Amino acid sequence: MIHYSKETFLEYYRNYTRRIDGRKADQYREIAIKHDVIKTAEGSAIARLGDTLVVAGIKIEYGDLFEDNKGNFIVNIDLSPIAHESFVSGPPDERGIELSRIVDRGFRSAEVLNLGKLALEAKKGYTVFLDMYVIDYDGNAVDASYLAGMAALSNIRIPKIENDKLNRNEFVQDNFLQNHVISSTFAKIDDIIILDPTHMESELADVLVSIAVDRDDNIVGIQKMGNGGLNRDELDEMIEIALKNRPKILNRILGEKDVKDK
Amino acid sequence: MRVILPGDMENIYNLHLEGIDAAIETVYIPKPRDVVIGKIIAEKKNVAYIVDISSFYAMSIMIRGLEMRLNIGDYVMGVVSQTGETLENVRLLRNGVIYRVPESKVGRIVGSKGEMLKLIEKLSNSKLEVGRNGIIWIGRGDFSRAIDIINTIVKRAHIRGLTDYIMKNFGDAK
Amino acid sequence: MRSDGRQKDELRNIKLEVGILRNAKGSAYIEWGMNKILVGVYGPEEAPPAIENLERAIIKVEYRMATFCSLEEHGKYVPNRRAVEISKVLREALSNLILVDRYPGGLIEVQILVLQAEGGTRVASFVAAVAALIDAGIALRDIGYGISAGKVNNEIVLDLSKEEDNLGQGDIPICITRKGDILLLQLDGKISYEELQSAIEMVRSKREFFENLIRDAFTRRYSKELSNDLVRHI
Repeated sequence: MIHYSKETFLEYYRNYTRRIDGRKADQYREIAIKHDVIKTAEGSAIARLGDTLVVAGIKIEYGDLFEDNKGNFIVNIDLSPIAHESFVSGPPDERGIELSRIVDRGFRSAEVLNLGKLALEAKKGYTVFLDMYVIDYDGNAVDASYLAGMAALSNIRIPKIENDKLNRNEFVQDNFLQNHVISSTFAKIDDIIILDPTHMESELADVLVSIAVDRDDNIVGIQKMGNGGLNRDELDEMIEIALKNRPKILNRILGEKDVKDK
Repeated sequence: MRVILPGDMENIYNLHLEGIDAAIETVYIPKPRDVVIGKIIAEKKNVAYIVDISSFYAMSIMIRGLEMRLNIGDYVMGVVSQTGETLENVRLLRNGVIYRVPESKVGRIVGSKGEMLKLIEKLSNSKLEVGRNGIIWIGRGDFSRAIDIINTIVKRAHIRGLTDYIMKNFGDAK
Repeated sequence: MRSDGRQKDELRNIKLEVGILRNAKGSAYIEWGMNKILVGVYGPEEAPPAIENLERAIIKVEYRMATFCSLEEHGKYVPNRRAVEISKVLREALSNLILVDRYPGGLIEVQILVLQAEGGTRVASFVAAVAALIDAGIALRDIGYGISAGKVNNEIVLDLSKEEDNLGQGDIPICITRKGDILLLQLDGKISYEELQSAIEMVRSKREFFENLIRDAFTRRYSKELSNDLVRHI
């Protein structure tokens, strides 16, 4: 646990051009990713961003489709009580719901999964449940969830259908992944914009902005959070950093693909 | 380094490292005369402030005789009274950084006769107050450097040559 | 011979790591066969007035299963009846092990998350919870451990696999202290009195194994700098 005031943060930054944890304004914390960690899932990963840790697992089901000719894709992120003393069990609160919907929109807008291929008939096909559990929390669950979710999707396995039922022992040999999403979350404390805020920094921020970009540098998700305001220059600065980060972080996600479980 | 588990011997209920008397992982239990740091979480109007010291019961600060006004969210330092339930000689900790460490590592951070504490202060140009309950206040100076040193001590509290290690890794002037 | 080739009293592979989470006061991660279970302990903190007991600590245990933990279908988001019962029996087992009188008015919370499940999750959770409580510095009267004994092909075996649990004649989860006090005992099936005694004896015979498992986990942790990255171990 760490606690300091906004004044302390600002004074320290003005004197040292560093944040209280020693980082520069546009610096990520350490990232660690491992693919395919849950064998009961049809695709999984664990991702650590500083001290925030997220496990993602995919489960595939077969049945009716919500929309004709399009597989179902459902993202749910759980702020588990194991992650932080302030997280309680029970139905998701507004933070958990917002988090789930942000990440859902990013993956959906970027069409990370070819949902058309996941429809076997007009009204019947696969449902992809992408579920994530935040198991340790120190801010920026958004970016950590995107990392874990993206890594899980990159090892997705779609079971074959036999006799109108899933055969979870045999998988369709095809590629369902057609894009990647990288997310950058910023906090604005007074006029200082910092990347990848810790929990304390998030509490002090007037505004938080998450920007998701895909591998072609399209912006595929934006969420402004917090009670404060944001001007055009500040938004531009954030977008510029998000786009600049994209190749580096993408390499981290793809590179880790070779880190096999044991 | 062999570890001793709860139940290994009579009267052993916590984790110990062989050869070290104090348990390596414990829970802080307030004792009279301990200096602790905590957060004001409530006020019983005109009677007392309630202070969370990250233990299984909160402390109280009696308002009568108190020369300052405190607010919820303030961090204070005080001395545990004879009853073990109230804080005396209360001081408001303004600004700075509050940082929590496992209470079992407080001894190592202070050092015998306080020399480890002085070393941290010197190497980070800071001023520290350490609560027996594991809550530290860094009053001023290079906060991130102080925290780095504290984290190193916590991670290596059980390893020999800690002071040398600290000097080697943080000894150069910034 | 059992379907996976194990001897009557042979356990599946078990791996235990402690101190793998930053926020929880104590934590542990266990892999037992194909089970992967995470436990975090918070507290003792002050219990809310509504539930506090001024003489002893209250223990709260939540056992949850990730929706992707089963080889079968996607699980539900809401805890099912089985999870609720497991939370209760684990709470009662741990309440007996923890020296609750030391923390009057306190609340100790044990959070269990099953990431991958393959039979025997409650006993595996119990072992990880004991390790997490030690990691949190909470006083215990002794270490405890648990094994799912069972009756398969008319004989008592230890550590049922999922297949044995489904096809066998009895599932007997037992959690016990090193000194032999039974903390958790359940039966799903039909057995004789002798068979029950045999199961308990066989579980007792594994006390040194679990003592070493827990001791080694902490020895590893303290043989070097304290830091344990779950990403490395999972």
